[in-house]
Amino acid sequence: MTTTTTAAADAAFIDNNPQAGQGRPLPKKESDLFKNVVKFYESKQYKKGIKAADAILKRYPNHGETLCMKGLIVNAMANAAVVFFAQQGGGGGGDGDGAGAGVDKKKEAVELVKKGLMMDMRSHVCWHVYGLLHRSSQNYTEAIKAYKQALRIDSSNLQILRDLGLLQIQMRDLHGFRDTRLKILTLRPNSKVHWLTYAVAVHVTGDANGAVGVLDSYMDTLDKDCVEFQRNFEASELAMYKNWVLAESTTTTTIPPTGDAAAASVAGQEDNEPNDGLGGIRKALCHLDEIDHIVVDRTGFLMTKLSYQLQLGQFDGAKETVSSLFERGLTEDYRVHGAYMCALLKCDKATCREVEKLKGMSTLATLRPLSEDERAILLSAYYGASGGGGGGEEDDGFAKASANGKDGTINGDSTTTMSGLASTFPRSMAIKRIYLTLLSPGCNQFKWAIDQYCRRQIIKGVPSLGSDLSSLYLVEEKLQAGTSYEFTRYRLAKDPIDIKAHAVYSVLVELVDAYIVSLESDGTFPDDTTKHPPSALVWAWYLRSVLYEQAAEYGPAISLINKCIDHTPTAVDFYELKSRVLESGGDIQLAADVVNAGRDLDHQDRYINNLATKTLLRAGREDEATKCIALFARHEAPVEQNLYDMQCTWFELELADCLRRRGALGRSLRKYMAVIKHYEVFHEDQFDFHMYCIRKVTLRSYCKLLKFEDELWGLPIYGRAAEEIIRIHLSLIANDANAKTGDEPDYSGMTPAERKKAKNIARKKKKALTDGGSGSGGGSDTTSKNMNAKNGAKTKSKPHAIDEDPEGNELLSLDHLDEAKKFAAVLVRHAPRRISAWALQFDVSIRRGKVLLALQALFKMKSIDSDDHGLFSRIVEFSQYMSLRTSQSNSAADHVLSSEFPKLMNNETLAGFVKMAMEAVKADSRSSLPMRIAVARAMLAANLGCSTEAASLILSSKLNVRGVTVESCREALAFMDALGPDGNDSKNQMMMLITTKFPFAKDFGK
Amino acid sequence: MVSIRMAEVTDLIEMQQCNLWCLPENYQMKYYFYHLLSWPQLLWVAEDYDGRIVGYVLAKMEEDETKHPPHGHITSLAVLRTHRKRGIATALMRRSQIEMESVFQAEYVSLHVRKSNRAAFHLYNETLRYEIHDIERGYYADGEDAYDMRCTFKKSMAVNKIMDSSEEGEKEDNDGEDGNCGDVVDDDSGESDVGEVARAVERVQLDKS
Repeated sequence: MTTTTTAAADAAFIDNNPQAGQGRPLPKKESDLFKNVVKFYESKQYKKGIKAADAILKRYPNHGETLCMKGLIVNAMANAAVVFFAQQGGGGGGDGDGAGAGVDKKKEAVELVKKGLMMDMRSHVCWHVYGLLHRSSQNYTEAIKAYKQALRIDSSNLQILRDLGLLQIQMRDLHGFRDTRLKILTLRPNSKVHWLTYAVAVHVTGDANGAVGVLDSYMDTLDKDCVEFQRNFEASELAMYKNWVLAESTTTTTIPPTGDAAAASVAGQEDNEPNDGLGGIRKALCHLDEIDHIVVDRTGFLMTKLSYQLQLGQFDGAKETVSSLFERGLTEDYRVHGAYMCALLKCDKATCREVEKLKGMSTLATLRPLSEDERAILLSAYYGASGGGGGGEEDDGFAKASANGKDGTINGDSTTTMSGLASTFPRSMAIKRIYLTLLSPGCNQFKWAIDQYCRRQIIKGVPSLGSDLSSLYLVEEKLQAGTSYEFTRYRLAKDPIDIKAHAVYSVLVELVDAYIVSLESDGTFPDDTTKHPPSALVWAWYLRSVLYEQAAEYGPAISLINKCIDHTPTAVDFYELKSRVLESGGDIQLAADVVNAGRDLDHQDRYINNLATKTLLRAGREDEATKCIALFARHEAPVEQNLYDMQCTWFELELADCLRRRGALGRSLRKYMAVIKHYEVFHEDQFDFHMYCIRKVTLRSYCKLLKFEDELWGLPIYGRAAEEIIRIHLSLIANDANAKTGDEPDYSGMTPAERKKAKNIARKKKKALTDGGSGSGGGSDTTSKNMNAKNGAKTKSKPHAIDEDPEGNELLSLDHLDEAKKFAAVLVRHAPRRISAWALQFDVSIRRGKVLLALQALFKMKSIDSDDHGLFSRIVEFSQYMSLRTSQSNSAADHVLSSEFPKLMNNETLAGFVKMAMEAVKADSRSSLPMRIAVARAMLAANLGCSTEAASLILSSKLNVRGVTVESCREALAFMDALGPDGNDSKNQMMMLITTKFPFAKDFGK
Repeated sequence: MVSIRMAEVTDLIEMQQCNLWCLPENYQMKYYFYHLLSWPQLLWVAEDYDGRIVGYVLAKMEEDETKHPPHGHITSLAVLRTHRKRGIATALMRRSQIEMESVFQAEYVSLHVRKSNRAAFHLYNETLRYEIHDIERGYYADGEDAYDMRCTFKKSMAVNKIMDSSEEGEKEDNDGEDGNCGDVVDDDSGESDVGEVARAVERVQLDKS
């Protein structure tokens, strides 16, 4: 944007359009002055720029381009003032020139530019400046319009085309971007940057073949000894980018029939059908060979090759590639192991793709159950012959290992009996860990291996051992693909009830209990003679305590962790665990005290400091928490401002939760909105990289950035903030039902004309409301940052408004339903697989009287998790809602409703539907507490049985079911409270259950 | 255990959170973008079993191309306290260093570490063979000095090192050390470097006009 004006300066006197503004072309003296204005603007000598502009305007007060340039400079000064003000921490700037002055200046700038434009509508300079002004206040849509207007006057102005292209890609007008970049390339075909940008532009429209063509054409323009064909970073990145695009391309037209045989012979494997959709990948794999000598990103090269080979079923080649990756040191990357297993077992394409997408420490072995044959193959690859085989051999292996143990080598390497990967890479922890997932949890060999694994880590005192092992609690789950095809996948057991019942959990408990007995008696592990220092015992206690925690046995967990603390009162980890157990066990205040005591042991450790802050906030002790986190914040600004600047979302979310619980909804909303704003900034952040990445040729990463930015609003932290914002607004509607001015009427029963009228009235009301709210107009505008290429991050959101409304009254004065609607719409669009998003969409829609949207939300929820208790409650709510309203209308919507909604109720009446749910709950002894509460509520709503029966559905759980937490228990109590005197008996029984389950529970029943 | 893999754009938000949980030196998201989009091969993460990021290394190459020879720099390294004693820091450092050398032909790598951070110093000095090159007085915001440490890559050594993935570090990490370290950047969050992005953009524009 700084450089816009070089071209503009020329134009000022070249353009002799007779209809141009007054005083044009300028005489020599003034036109020189004008050039200076531009120069001063670019070198940020704003005062001089203004002076020069004023000198022109003195003689030609209506010279449009000068007016515009002056406006642009004033605007830049206003932005600078805002930044300066914000950097002073919003406090005393000293000269009385603050954000307020900045705002005035901005107004002045807009007026100047507008006036200039009016004076000279035929000047592309004026339109360009007008666009730049919009861009600087992030009004990109208007900026694009202005640029396009400028280009109508000067269609081949490179600078304007570039600025337009930037906004088009930022706004994802992908086809517009492509057309603009084609124009630029046509104007300047000698620039590498223009070729690459055009290739990317074609690629992002989805035309991979076209992009390959552009890249090929570019390469054709080069000499063969040019750097692009040599081994260097940029050439390497470009080659890998082209390869990536090739893999996405299709070959329907490019491979002639005879080519198939050739391709097949290259591939050398089964996949030689021409129409398998893998033509692009086949070509890309060949292309990898061609670029082998220039690619410096060897890791990326090999990972790419591996992926192609697997998809093409070239398993031998894939194994070789895996070996190269391992030799490169990538033995700790579980994705490589997942791919290796696919190659070993010759998995089909779909499975290979599924494995490729796995996260964390998941591999094929944790994706689905393995057959005995498959286990044998994998074991022999990882641990050689001795590791493989069926039951008999396993027993052998175990016997051999036990013998080793008795010789006293049990703590050392178990690798002496191993071959395969384990012997090639004896130091790889991943390979040792994967071994555990290859064995069947029932067999002795598994017990032996997990025994070895645990001993080793206990001796070292690894605190995360328990959490590491929890990823072995895999349970099989039958899934349905389409109508007939059923398949099995593993899912991780997470509920204490399921964990406690898991075979691996029993094995672990047995092992660790035996360790403790043995270590307590003589400091050795069972069947071993090596004496260990007392720390081994302490860490065995610690692990056992974690196991108790996993099974929600809070009492024993605390006894053991207390032993640890008594033994080593200086170990921060023990306080952390104790605090966590106390929190889940119901005593958040003590949890906060404990972790705070742990924090006192190590003031250098930010982790424990944060944890203390978080727990204090959960305990509602905001002041202590803020003081605590301040110890690690920088002090040139207020703490909250500092954390805001550092985009510390976890803190803002926890603080917002704390404030919400306390009923300080305005402040709470402000904190949630802070998180929303961070994500807006993350989105804005991409702006500077559109051109930067082209120059750096990091095109693969750049394309992934674009995709990431498109999916930003679907990320969990954003979702958490947005969901709470929706909930607060919905609760505010419910709370002040009589004060709701902005509520939308029920449009569904109206004729189109009536609806239009009603909507107009609603819109006017709303407008009056927001305009009245000290001109905030939706929160985000107040803090809108002025991001431009020149001072980039400097002006990012430093919301000087942050101190103007500490109580968040502005946010509270917004139209609640409108805000809730806005965020719900974003969530369901960007996180369509998140059930809570649809649940909120339902809640919002039903309050808006949008029955079809509500119905859609229910169907979406059902497709995600048909057993969800929130879905159940909402179906009941919807049914009640419908029974109250059907009598009044018979629109098309009602036809859809009457044909579709019964499907959600299994074509039952409400009573029948609830009864079915009731029976389902009774039939499943583990069915969750929240579901039981939901069904109990529904029973009362449907007049099914008395309140005692409803309550007994909850009490009969004995709290030995899924979903038992402090929160769900509170909810159960709230349900019983609502029963009035009838519920007293149930409530007492419930309290007894709770005190048994949560020995540390405080504040219940109040 | 954890999976050690190259970072993707999608990891950056979690890396930032991890940094905020571990270190007093923090950066805005744009600074993470900047690293990843400039030197994609130098950022590595440690992923827990469920895909959560529990450690990362954020590294870069010296930007001033007139400064010879080419060398890398560790901007920030952190491992969550809960995941210590597993050699994660060592494994992350080794990966980034290998890529620095093979992708960018770096001859050495530098970093800053707090003088008082003995655990980190031990990791760099003993396990990873860094040496003190200089002391920067008052480098950190709280006035503490920093060691400017360097490790020169020797081709032959590097090949051996490749084979030592995490295990060696794991052994040496036994005494509870972690290598957390982070660069201080002027103003907040490396605006100087982000400014550099913007300046680079400007230059491109000038080149073309």
